[in-house]
Amino acid sequence: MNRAFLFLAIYCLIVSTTPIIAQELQAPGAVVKEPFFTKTVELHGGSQGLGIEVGVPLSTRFNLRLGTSILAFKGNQVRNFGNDVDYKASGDVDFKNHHLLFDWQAFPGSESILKKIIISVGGAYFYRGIADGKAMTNGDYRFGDLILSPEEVGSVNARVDWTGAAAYGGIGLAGLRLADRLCLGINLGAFYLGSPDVKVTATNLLASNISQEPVLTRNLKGYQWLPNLQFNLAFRF
Amino acid sequence: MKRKFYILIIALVSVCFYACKNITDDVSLTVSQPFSYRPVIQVVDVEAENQGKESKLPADLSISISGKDAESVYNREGYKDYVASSGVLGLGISPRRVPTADNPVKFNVTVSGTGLMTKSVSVTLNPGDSSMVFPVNVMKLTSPPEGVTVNQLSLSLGSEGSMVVPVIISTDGTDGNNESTEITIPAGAQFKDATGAVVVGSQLKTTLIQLDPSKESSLAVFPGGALSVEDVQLENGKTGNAILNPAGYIDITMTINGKEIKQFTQPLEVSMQLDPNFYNPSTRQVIKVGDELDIYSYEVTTNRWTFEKKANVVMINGSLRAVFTISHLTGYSAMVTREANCNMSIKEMLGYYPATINFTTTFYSTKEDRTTPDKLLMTVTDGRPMADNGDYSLYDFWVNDQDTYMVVVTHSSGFEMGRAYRSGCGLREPIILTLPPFIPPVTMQLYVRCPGKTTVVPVNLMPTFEMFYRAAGTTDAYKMLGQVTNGYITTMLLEADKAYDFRAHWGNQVKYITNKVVKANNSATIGQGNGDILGNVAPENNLQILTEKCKGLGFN
Repeated sequence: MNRAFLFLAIYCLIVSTTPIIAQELQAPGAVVKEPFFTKTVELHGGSQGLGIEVGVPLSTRFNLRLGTSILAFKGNQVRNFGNDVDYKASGDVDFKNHHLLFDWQAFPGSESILKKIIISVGGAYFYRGIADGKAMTNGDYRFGDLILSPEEVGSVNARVDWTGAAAYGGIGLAGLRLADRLCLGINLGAFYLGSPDVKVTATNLLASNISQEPVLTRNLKGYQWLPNLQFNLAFRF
Repeated sequence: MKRKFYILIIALVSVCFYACKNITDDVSLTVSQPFSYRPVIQVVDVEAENQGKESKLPADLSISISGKDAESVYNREGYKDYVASSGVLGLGISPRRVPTADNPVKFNVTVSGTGLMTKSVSVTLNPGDSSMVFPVNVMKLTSPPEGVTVNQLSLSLGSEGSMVVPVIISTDGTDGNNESTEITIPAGAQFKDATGAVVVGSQLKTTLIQLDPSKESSLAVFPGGALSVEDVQLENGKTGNAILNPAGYIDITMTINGKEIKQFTQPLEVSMQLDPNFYNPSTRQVIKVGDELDIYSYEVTTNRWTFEKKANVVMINGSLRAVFTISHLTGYSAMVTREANCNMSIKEMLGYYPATINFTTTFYSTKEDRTTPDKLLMTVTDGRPMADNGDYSLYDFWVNDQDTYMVVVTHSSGFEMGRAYRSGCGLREPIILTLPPFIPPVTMQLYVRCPGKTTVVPVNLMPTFEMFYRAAGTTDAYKMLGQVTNGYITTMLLEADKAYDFRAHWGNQVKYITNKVVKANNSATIGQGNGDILGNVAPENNLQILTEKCKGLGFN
């Protein structure tokens, strides 16, 4: 699905840059330039998740986007952590934000693809910015003749929390026309979230691993940025 | 402008691909040992201890675990084989079996070996009894304590393994024993094994052991290790709890060709001499002719007392005796049993004390005046340190609600902290303990550095083991210092700047560190690093053990 979406985006990008399709609307006898920014309702998908935005032009070169995004996924893997015991490590990411972005058309006079380039700044409020990790032994744990289930051994749980306000900066392409009122946009940028709060809890025979909280906190200290590669499908009004 | 724009793009991409540290770098998860309840079984040769000597236990010392919760009992490495190295066995209770007030953990520990009187004790773990020490006092047949007489004989048998003429096996009241017992084997008697099959042989080997319960040294090896006992098969046929007051006890074993005899074709007559000063709690008087005693049998393999019959006290040749017949071989006691019809809760209060302490609570029955201690009913040696903030410890004892008991609390240094007399059921008036003289505590922290590693093993993976000590340069018996939890112990049994010998028990391993001068705060790292130690006795073996243990921990 993601690969198909990527192909579609690349196709649209190529097509939109051709002179035939990328022509501006013309009225008989006169060239009437359509404004670069128009009112839009956009669906987007990318590394900050899926979401919806409303675009409102502020001037010929400035645009305001107000939107919300949800990023949620789960995953797991089997690995060990410094010794011979295999653990099933599962992750559960839950990011939800409201954001407000200002777009600026960088090269309005260009006749090439550069005309479509926008620079975006703004901010977001991640009302939920949580990544939960959980590790349990992968199968029964054997201590001599005593065989304990993963539930009896317990779990180590780590919660990494970025909840709060974030600044955004990025660039993008806007107005890549797919159809009469349907355009594609691409954004590449990053949210600055700051260092997360890290909390480790653990149960049963893994209880002592709360000692790993400072290690995780140190490792995650640099995770202050949330990269954003995003594709927008905009309906123009 | 375009150039600036490209710089901006590069900068942005650089930010987005900011090289963050791998999230799991240096994260090390460890599984702690699974036992929250870690009782310690300490096998002690009573007579050696009486003489202040180190116990020398037989090489084939065997320990078995039986009873209700036996399935939940493991050695410290999680296995079902129980080896008491130098008499010490650390056990662990399965984390699936957590004791509750209504359902404590219960099992029996049976210790046997060549030349020992087989001994069973019952272990009960209530909530919070995480590291209690259960002594199993054993006796060598060749060196019994005062008050115990042993008579071993080899008797010739006739054809078909029968006794040709009547034979009397007796103890003679020597070895400080006020009592003697005669067992008459009638002519023609044959001997059977546990299945009831007659065992045929030419020699009958007998061992008769008699205990004089009036002596504490003798009571120390009394079956079960306590006189306040549970799961007694009572006279009314029901199972209940009882306070035992033995006037005499005998243990008889017989073998033919190495096969253990359990039954006979004809009953044997036992004439047990009784202590003339025995206090009868039923009559509240000293024993006399006509008093009725209970005859109970004791089966060591199940650690269970069973009512057999009644016997009247008679006078024979100037000595008081109980005469009765037996049809199976086991231990027998003539005694007065008091039904333990309720639980007495003893609360022990301690004022502020700037350190943790270890103590022993001893429970006595009392004589008629209710203040003279009679029989030592049971002892609770608590490895759980008492809290230092005026908290309390609570013990429950089975008692008869009509009787009075004496409780003595003793600090591990021997200092008597409290003594009180209590009767009745339920929670009784607290015993306010006197604080022992304060000795600045000594702390010890042990670390382990696995071979080839630069960092030490995390503290939570450090072993938990038992440590014993004695003054350096002596041949005294080692005394228990306590449980070293995750390599750490704090104790008031040691004094800074004094030298000690230490003996550590880790699983089946026993390690010695001799002539070590301790400081107030001590730490050491076992390993091969600079300044690390590997012990001064067989360091190559210690390195091998260290390597194996590290591999077990996943630090290879």
